[in-house]
Amino acid sequence: MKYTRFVVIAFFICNFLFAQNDSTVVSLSVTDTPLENVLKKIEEQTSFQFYYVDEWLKEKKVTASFQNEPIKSVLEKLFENTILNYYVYESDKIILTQNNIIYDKLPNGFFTRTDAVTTTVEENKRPTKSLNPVFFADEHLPQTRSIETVRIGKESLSGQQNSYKLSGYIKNARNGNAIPDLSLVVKNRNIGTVTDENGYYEIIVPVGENVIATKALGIESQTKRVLVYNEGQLDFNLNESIEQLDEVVVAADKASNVEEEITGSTSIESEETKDIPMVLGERNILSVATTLPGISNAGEGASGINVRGGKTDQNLILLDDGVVYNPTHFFGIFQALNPFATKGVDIYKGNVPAEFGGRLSSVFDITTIEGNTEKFSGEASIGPVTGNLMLEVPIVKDKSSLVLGGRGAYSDWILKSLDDENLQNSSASFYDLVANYTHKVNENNTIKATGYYSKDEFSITSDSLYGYSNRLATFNWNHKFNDRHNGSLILTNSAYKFDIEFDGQSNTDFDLGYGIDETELKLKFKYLWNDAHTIDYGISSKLYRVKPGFINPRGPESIITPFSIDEDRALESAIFLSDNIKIGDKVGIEAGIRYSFYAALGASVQGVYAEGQPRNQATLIEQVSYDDNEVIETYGGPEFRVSGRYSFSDSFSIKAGFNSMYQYIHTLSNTTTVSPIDTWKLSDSNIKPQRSNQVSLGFFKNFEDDLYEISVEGYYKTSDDILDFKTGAQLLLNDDIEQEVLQGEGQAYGVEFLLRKNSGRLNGWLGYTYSRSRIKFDSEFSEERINGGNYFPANYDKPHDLSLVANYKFTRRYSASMNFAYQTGRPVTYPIGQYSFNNSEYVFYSNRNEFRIPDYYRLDIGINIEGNHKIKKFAHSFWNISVYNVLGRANPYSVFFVSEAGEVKAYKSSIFAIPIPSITYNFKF
Amino acid sequence: MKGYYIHIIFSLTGITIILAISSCIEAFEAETLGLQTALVVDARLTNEVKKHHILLSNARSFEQEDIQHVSNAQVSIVENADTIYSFEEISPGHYVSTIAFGAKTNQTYQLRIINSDGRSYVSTNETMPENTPIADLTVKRKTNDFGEDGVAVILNNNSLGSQPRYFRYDYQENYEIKAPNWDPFTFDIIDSIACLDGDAFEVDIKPKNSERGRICYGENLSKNIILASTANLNENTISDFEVHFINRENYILTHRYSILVTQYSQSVDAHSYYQSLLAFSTSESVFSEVQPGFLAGNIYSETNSDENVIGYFETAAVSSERIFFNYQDLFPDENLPEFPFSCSGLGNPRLIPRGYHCTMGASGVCDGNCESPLIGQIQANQIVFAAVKEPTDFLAPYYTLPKACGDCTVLGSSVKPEFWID
Repeated sequence: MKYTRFVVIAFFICNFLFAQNDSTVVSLSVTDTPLENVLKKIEEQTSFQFYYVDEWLKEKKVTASFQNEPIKSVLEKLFENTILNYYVYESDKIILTQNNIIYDKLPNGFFTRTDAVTTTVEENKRPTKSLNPVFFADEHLPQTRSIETVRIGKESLSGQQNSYKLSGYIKNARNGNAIPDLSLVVKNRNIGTVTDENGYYEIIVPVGENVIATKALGIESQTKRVLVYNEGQLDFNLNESIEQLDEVVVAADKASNVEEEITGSTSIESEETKDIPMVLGERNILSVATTLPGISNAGEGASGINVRGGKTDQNLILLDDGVVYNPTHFFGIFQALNPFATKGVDIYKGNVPAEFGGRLSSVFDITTIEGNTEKFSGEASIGPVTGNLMLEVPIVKDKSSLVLGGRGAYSDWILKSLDDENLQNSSASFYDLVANYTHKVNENNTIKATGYYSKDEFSITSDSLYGYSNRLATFNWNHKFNDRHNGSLILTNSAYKFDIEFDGQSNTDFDLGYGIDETELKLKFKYLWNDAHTIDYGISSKLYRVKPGFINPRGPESIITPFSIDEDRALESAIFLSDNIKIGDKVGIEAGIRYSFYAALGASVQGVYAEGQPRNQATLIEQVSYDDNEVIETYGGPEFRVSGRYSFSDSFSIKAGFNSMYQYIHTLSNTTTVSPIDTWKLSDSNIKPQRSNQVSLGFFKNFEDDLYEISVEGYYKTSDDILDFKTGAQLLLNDDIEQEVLQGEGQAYGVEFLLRKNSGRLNGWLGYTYSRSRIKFDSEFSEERINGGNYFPANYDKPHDLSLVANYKFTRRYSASMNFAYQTGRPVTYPIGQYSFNNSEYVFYSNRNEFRIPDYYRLDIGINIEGNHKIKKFAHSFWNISVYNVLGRANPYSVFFVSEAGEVKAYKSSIFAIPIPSITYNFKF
Repeated sequence: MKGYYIHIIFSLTGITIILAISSCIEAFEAETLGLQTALVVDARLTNEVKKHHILLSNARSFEQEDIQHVSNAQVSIVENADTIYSFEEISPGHYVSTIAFGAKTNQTYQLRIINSDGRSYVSTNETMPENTPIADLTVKRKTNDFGEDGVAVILNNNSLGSQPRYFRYDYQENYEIKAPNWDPFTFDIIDSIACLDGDAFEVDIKPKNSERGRICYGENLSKNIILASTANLNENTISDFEVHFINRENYILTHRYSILVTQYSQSVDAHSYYQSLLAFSTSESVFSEVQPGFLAGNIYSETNSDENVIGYFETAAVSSERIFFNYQDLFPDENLPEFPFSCSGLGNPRLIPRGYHCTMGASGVCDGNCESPLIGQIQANQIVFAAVKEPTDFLAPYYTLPKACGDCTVLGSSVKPEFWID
């Protein structure tokens, strides 16, 4: 092969066309000379170089004579009776193509119908994506060469029909890959179809002669005369065609918001967030997520995300399919994910694909990047808090690659270098490590393995050291059974633990800890049944092992007795099936069902409480022991995941969905916001799983060729058996935790508005959400009621939430970005009076969350400077200078009351009360 | 405590250094947003045979300084549902048992209150826990977790049985105060009236007839909740528990110090009530705050089950221990803590103010500046006599010191407590 490399996007029309006028003239005279030799002669005479495949010229002989004739007419004459076309490239290169021509302009209408490009680029990534027809230029039909005639089926006298089904596979002749999105047209009959992702097509054709032509981007067209007698199969093997175009930036997913069936989903690419100013210049996709409608957190410095009025423990956060229990560092201020090794996150806040389950509110499906298989490359950054490094190491060229990422805070070093005794004794540090290995074993098998570890350590007083860590390992084997059927085997293990090391001056030093470990095996399959149905199905099973708490003496002097609560175990399994149904172009339905089944397993001792009485030590009737692996209690039920789309046009659709979920694992937290020592508890005989139902409706409209997208989505969600706790509950090391737990109902609704501009000098989004989230804990016993058993606002109920994220590119190198956020202040429990008791003054609280702290607003700005784009330069650099909270607003984070020396003192705290500047340097190599 | 929180943030990290300068915790004047009042019951019954005391009040708004006492209630404690001990109101809100009695181990007690408007309240039946005596109370010089040098008051006990025991502590500390510049003479205001009586202001000095104000005794009661339990401990004992820590810089240590530690053996429910109260009234982390809410005690309204009653009826067995020590015992030959008032700078207020003038001679009317700074300060109890100025200065005749330097009654009582052992 002497040509190729400029594969971009091809087009099919057989016309001759000159890219530029060329005045070069040629003189020569040949008789019955091989064409190849003639071209060589021209190369000798001129500066032109020809690029072609030898085969094309084989046995082609020409007789011709030219005197100072322009090259153009020489070439036209030489190729007159051949199927070869030519294209002059970079004024001295002539590229020969067989059968098709090279365009140097995109056809009209290319950008309005990029959906076809989307599906090819994003193949398999989004199971629900519609298979819309590819664009093609109907006005020019391909020039026919010698047309092959094919007979299909055996004529039968009985049961003659007017038309028959013709089906088959269309493959790339060179590599045998399926060609999706290729259109087949029956000439002069207005019949046509498009191949699916496996290159498969079906078409109903009339009996008799049909001329069938294939058309697709980058593939040569072929025409066959088909004589149809009966049903039958007709396969095509087509060649690629090579054409040169100016660079086309393929904006994948441009119209996905309008086209997808499922409601309430959104994606964030890690790389795209690099311009958004963040605290201390640390890229944080989870914080960026909170700027999108429906996703919020309780405030800066509050770990945990609230999605559509859900609690912070209701989000399933997955990293390459494994669960990450705490994806943040340092009280939620930083993400615990390497920004360079993270590709992005798909967030499902409305309808959740049936393959996911186990949390009520959302799924954050985070994926790591796939390493560069061609050359060693990497990315690094240095910021005021952390250093970051990510390397991509090819192992087997074009087949496998390793990604290694490391990130650490060097604050400890800063601490140690300070001259303050207190600071030298304290510490705060965090790091996270990530590695993945991808290997494309062959056409049909791909494996990806990921390992991840994050660790935080901080001391609040010099005698106690808090630490928590996440550990995760996943293995994913993707196998293609055939062109229409593929499956994945996913094995994951993840663990989260925290511990407190207390090392004080007294003899009560201890280690206190908690740990949860889960292992999941999941098998999922995708079956492309036909154009109208894409089926996903599978099973999964997860084993939980929880160490609910232990305390051990620290050092020989300690008088602490070792104590631990028995390990809890449970099995959570599910079977799921979903069908993406296309009914014409207008209607799409994603119908999914998941049946989840949960079994709490022994060994365990479960308390039995008197019926009709509040649950406390006095009503504990007996304690029942269960043996190892004995089933204590089972729960389960169907979860429906149904959503539908109706497209009024290519750019306007309406979607509705119903989503139901089960959650079998709960966080135990008696703080108003997430604390690093919150624990997870499995459902058991006394604690039931949480359930939710959500209905949603949305309108999605794109303007100006998908440059702007606008959406309005509304939802109403109810949840049952959500957890809360009796006032003053002691949750750590509590053997009878069920005596502290209350289970109640939640109700959340909201309207989310998003206006987004995806490209251009000015891009960004404006999001506004009006939402309410209320919860209710009622019981016939006053000790099990909160706020008299009435609905009250949840801690994260913030009705108005406005975010504006904007980026303006001055030049290719300089851009400025800003981020503005406004939220209603969160509800707080404010004391309603004070009283004297036992020599001291105290405040007293009544109903929860009756008051609100003042509204929150913040403006951040950033300037981004890209290094220059010299290709030879070793590294490509990127500077980010940002100021967080430019207005210096001391947003109240909490209001608290303490009794000091017998007096009540009121305080309010804010986390970032002044503008915080930072500079981060990033470079790629 | 404010400093403590700042300490918390500050000790976190380098990131926190940024946080420390950027985050802020500020005190503010709390306003009452929608007060609801509630009955507050401050009641504890011990095994001591005495007239027990119960305080009833109403919760009040932040704007109200004074306790809102609840008067004219009928208060009684019922032992084992048969014996009734009634209480009488000796002063507004203060109810004292009509007879002296002590609660007996393992008997149950119930508090009953009927308000003047007829609403009745009862506590749950509380069992009197077994008493655990304090085995040993000592003091030890040590550096605490915050790096402060000082004295720790350390307690040990030996609990009985194998069940975990729960304790609450309070203390009363008394200390000797010596006025560093006590002087046998004191001011004698002869004439504090300007002009009219025919002469100007006149202040003399006279000998004190007693040593009053030379040695005093200060007293502090513990204001915070001190809890300990033997849950999760190897042995069912409290060992080396630090009840109190006094910074070496604190002047109360200067001479002789005594602390009476009282240990209340309480029920697990009472213990967890106090624990919650403690959690709600302190803050451990800037980032996560314990969810506050109404803290239900063990007293309920019989009239309206939705009515919140604040407080707890605690039955506790009491054991107390007193200890004395001198500064020199623990800090021999070390500098004494600083006196809380600066006694080095002598004052010299004018007797006759600038611009003093009488019309019509000395017996006329004062028409100029008619206030004597010296007399004003003596009358306001701000100063004591230090020395006579020499050479004699008619306008400002005396050197003075802040009152506490020469009269320790500013800081304590001149009456030696009965229990005091020198």
